[in-house]
Amino acid sequence: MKRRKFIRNLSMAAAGAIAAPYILPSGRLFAASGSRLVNHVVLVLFGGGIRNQESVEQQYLLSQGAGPGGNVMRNMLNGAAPPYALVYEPWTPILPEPLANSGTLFKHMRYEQGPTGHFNGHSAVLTGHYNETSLNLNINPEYPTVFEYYRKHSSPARNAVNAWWLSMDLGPYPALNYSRHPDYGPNYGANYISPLTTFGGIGYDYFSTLNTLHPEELARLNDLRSFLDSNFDKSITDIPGIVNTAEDRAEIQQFIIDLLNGSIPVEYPLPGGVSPDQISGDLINITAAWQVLNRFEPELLVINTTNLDICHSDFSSYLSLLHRADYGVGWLWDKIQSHPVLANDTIMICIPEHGRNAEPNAILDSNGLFAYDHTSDENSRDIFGLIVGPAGIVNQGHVIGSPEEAAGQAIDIVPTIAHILGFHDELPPFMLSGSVLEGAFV
Amino acid sequence: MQVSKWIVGALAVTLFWSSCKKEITQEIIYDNIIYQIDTVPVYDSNLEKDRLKTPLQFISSVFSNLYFSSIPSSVLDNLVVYRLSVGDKSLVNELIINAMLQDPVVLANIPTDEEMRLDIDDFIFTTYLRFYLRYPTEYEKYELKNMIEENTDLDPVEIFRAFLLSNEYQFY
Repeated sequence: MKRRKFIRNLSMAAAGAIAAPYILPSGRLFAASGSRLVNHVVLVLFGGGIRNQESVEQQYLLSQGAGPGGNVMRNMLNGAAPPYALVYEPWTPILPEPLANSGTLFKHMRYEQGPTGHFNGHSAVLTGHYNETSLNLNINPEYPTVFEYYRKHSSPARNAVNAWWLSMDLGPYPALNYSRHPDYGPNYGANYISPLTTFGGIGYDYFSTLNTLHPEELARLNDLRSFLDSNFDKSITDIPGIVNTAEDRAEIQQFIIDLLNGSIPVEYPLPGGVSPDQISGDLINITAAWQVLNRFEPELLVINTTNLDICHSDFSSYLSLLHRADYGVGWLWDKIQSHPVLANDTIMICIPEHGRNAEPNAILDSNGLFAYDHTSDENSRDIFGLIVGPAGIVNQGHVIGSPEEAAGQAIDIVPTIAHILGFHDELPPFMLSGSVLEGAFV
Repeated sequence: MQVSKWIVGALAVTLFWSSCKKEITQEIIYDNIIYQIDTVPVYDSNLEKDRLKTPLQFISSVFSNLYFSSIPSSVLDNLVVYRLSVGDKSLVNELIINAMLQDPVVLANIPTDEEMRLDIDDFIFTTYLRFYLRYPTEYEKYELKNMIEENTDLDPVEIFRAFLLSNEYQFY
């Protein structure tokens, strides 16, 4: 009897072992499809370190005792502009009504743990993990990035051309397009560019006169490379970096050359009549983001703005750059809504990587305003989030969270994007501790 | 007794001469210096290549292979920074290599299609040596020769491009 029971259990275990590879972490037999809220997500790491006082609290110069309050982010937030004592050149909003009316504002979110450093903040948002210590800036993060989760767990798996990461400047940021995690890594990473360099002076000097290869030349090249590579025992996977398909690589190369040689007309996020010298690095990054969106219609695109970090030494410029970055975000949303594929099928999320201190440092700018650092005090952990998208999918004009009761954290962005793009249930449950920002969705 | 004295003497002289051999040094001059890589005149086999070139090494070796001179430091700095700005390294390598292969200075160092087809064996031999720092195997010679003979559109620039973009070229 015992022997029979043993054999029966063994048979059941064997059957389970055979079936197990087809059972997904969610417990379902097959990957989900069609459970997306929309097909495109744009994440703006609206950063450089922004205090809630100058953003959602609209205090303008009040906290310095140097002038009135007022809203300097009129494309994103409801509220009247400062009535006087302007230390920036005001730009007329590009949107007929602020983005907050087209989505949900998480007025007080938390950057809960770890140092409030720029790279730590970026890493927390993009990986869904806080880092308790300062990171090694020159290596890819330990935990998978949102790009890797998206590419690995979407069904069917997506090519790299569907995921993009554009950083305003280089520094450590190129390392955020994939992680060192053994189950993910570069095979699931995003395409990365840093527009100020990729399309800047160096790119123009070296590559603007480049001719792309004719398809027949490309075919001969690929044949010859295949032959040469077949005689060498190391493959492309032994070489660091993400890999595009040959077709996608050729298309991206053409895109870079087209932008460098002026074949693609470039429109900048500047109001009419504003001098081109008002363009900031943040706005150039937003310009490039639109070019990528327009050309490749990626499902997941992440950009950042970092110019506002000037707040360490120049509060007036911080306000001016905040005002301009807000215009850029409005401009980008306006462009998205004019695109035949992206319009009404895109959700945009904006979140600073961290805040700034409650107390200023000792540096005064030319207007006699004090500057602020970010040294992990409670104020620098107070951030906001804005999720905008189509009515019927995203709650419109909704505001969540207060200074007393924060709602949401920086590490919630990865699960929220997974929820939007329909692969949240496929994520290994032990990988992320953040939650979907459910309050944003109908 | 007398004989053993002679033996000891002869042994001492032998030891003296053998311990004072003049050291002969050989100076090897390489014409394609690649930064941070110990230049190896010729590899016996590509199996010896197990280390990935750094971006700096890769770009400087491409330059020296195509221009027969060391890369100016300003050019190297610019290209290393540019390479950082694009995530797909294969793509950015293509940009860099294609740009160099358009330079008339480089084109002057590349055999013409006619020259290649006059002596394909020699072209293959020198190309392997130039880019892979090794001799081609018999199989490689046979296959590449076939490809060149069968495809009249395949010219030396395209072949050089393929060598520079191949996986083997990324290693040393």
